[in-house]
Amino acid sequence: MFFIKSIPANIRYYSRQSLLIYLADCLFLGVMLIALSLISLERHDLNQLKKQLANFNTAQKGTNSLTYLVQSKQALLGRYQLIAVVLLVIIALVIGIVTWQAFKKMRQDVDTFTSANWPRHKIVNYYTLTALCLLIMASVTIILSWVLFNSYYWRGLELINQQWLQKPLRPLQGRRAFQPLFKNHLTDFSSHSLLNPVLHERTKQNLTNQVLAQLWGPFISLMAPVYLIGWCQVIRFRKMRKA
Amino acid sequence: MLNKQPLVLGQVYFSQPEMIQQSLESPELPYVIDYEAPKILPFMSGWDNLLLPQKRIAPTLKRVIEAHLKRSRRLLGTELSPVDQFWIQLIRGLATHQQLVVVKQFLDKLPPTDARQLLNDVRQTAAQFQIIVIMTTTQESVFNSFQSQVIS
Repeated sequence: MFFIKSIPANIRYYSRQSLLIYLADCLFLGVMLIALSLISLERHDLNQLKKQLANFNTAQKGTNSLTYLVQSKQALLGRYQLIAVVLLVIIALVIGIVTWQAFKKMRQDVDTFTSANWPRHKIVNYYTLTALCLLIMASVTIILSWVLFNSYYWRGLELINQQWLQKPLRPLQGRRAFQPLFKNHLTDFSSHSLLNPVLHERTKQNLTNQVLAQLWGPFISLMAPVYLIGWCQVIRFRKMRKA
Repeated sequence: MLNKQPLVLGQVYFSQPEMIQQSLESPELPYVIDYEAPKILPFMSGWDNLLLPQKRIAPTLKRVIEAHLKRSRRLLGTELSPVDQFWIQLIRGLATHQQLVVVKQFLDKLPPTDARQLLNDVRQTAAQFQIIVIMTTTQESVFNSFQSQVIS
């Protein structure tokens, strides 16, 4: 009951700082959402490509351009995954530093709880819950707006993926590159859609679900530092008080 | 100016701040109420600032709370007067069974009438809960006059 009343009061009192943390949470979640979406999209494209290549016989598959295409797609997927991991680490570090500074600013509040004989875990839980509240608000904002503009979002991402991030593939995308493949061959796709697969509504839905299921990663990297640094700081303050 | 030895339970003593460190030899750490750094949460109402679970509040403590914090119950931490802040901290100390309370340079900040009233109240509370309260002030004349008025 105390927590329910006091956490909103705490957020309201430190409204400016809370707003900043909320915006940072929104930004990090948004960036991670884009990174995770790119991974899902690229993985989907790669699977699609492999499925389509199964249509050709082994002799045709051996063509240089096709091998290059598959390799580049795999390399791109690897790069996206690396970016996502690096981002997670950066987010955790930034949140850790911000938490350290925030606890420094709220030293007197922590001392107040300590002087009222609150156990350490209660103080840490109190601030972790405050951070969790802000994170929940941020994720509701991000997920709602994401779901609302889902169709546009995927179309935009597809464009970015094809136009900008696949630059090394561009020389391959000439009309003639794959023409020998399609000679005397009946397929349900063209050389253009082999390179730029169309995203259907159902696929978008599947990708959206995949990304949502992976959101726990950014959640943990946003929450774990608050909890850990909170413990460090509360223990440190108590030691400083006794010294 | 701290009385030599030993301190008697239920009494109020006066001292200069620097004397506390030099002459106070006590097995337990004193519970310090520092006016310069009051342990008050700015975003809570006066009542919530006690941070005490309802079950832990004994009837005698409830009476002290009623007497001294009735008005400040609905105030935010930032709006509390210095005297209210003092009582919140003292009540927290009483609830956690602290026996030795040091009040740092509090009297210097209060107008004389408030300070006199406060001293009388603190004296009663100290006697009731059998605690030792040491008040520090930098003004010798202030505590001399209070001492003669309140303690004698």
